[in-house]
Amino acid sequence: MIRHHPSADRLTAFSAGSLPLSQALCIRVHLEHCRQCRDEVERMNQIGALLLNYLPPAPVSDSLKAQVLASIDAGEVQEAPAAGAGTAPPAVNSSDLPRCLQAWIPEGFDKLGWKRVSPSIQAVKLCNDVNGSKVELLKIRRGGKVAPHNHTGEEITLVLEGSFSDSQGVYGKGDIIFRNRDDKHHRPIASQDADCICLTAVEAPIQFTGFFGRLFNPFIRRSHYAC
Amino acid sequence: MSNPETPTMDTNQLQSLIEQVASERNRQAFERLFEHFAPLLKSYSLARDPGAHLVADELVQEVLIKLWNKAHLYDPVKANPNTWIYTLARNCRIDYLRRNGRYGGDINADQLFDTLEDDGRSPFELTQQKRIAEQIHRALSQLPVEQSQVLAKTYMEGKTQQEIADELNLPLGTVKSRIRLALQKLEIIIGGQTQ
Repeated sequence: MIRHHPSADRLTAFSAGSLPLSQALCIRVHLEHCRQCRDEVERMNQIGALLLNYLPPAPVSDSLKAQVLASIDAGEVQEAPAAGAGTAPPAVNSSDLPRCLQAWIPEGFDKLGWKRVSPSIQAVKLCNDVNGSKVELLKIRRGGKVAPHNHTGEEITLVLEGSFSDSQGVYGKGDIIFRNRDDKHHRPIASQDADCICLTAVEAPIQFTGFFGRLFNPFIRRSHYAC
Repeated sequence: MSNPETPTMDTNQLQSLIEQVASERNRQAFERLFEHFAPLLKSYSLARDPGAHLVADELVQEVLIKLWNKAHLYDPVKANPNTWIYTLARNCRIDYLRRNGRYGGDINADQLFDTLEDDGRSPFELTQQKRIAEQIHRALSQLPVEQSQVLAKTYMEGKTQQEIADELNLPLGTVKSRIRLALQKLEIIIGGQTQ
C-alpha cells in the first residue's frame, strides 16, 4: 500500500519534461509502483497535447519536408542509440525491479559493487545529473541508522525493498519522500525485519549534524551518506 | 487562452492517418500528418529556444521520423493521437537537451517515459477516461490567464517552477498553487497532497 506520492505539481513537471532527469527517474520508479499516479500523469499529458495544438503554427520550409520524406524513403529507421548502461537484456528479469533501473542492475541487487560507507550503510552510485545531483542506491542494514543530517539541497528517496522510518513516518516499497533544507536533523532508521534498499537523488551534499557528524563533514567525498 | 482556430483535422482523421502509415506504410497519409504537425512541432521547439530555427527543424525531423517508425506502436484505445505526438515531441526534446549537455548524460527519455503496460481497462474506465479528456479540453480554455500562463511555461517553454517564479517575480509557492488550482479546475486532481 503506497502512502507517499509526489505532489501534483511535481507530476505536472514530470509530464511536461521540465524536471531534472535525476528527479524524473525517482518519479518514474514511483509510477511503476503506483497506478493512481500513472493515471494522473496520463491525464496531465493531455494538457501538453492541447497546449501544443494551441500554439501558433510556425512556417516549415519545403526543403525540410523533402528531407524528412527522403529519410523515410531511404528507410532510415535508426533510432538514437540509448544512453546509459548497456542495452543487453537483463539476465535476471526480476519483475520486482523497476524497468527503468534494469540497465544499471542487470543481475539483481546482490551483484552490484556496493561500497561500505558506514557500519550500517552501503552505497552504489548509478549516475550524475548535470545539476550536480547524484543518483545512488543505498542499502541500510536492518535496524541500521543513517547519521542525523541536514539537507543543503533537495533529497529524494524512493524505497525499493524493505522499509525505513524517520521522525515523520514509516515508508515502504514504492513510497517517495522529499526532504529539503527545512527538514532539520533528518535521521532515517531501517526497519528491524529486513535490509532497506532505496534509490536516492541528492541535489547537494547533506550536512551531518551532532558532534561527531560535524567532524566528518570535510571528509564526505565518496558518498553523500558517508559517516 | 485563445481557442484554437478550427483544426484542419479532427481526432478521428488523425487516428486513421496514423493507422494507414502503420499498416500500409502510406506515404500520402504521412505527408498529411507532416503538414498538420510539423508547424506545431516547430513552434513547440521555438517556445523553449526562441530564434533557434535549426534546433527546431531538427526536432520536427526527429519527431516525424519517429512517427513513421513507431506508428505501429500507436494504440488509439490508450491515447488520443495528439497526446501521442506530444509525448514523442517531449521525449525528443529531452534527448536533444541531454545530447547537448543540458541534462544528465546517463538517463534517456525512453527510460523515463516508455509506456507501462497497465492491465486492460474496463469499459467503465474507458468511458471515464473519455469523459475526463473532454473535461480537460473544455476547462483548459476557461482557465484564468495566470493559471494557463504557468501551464504554458511549464509545458511549452519547458521551464522549472523556480524559473517561472523568477521570471514572473512570484514566490515559488504561488507558482505551485496556480498549478494546483488549474489541475483542480481541469478535474485532473481532487484535493491533493503536499509533498
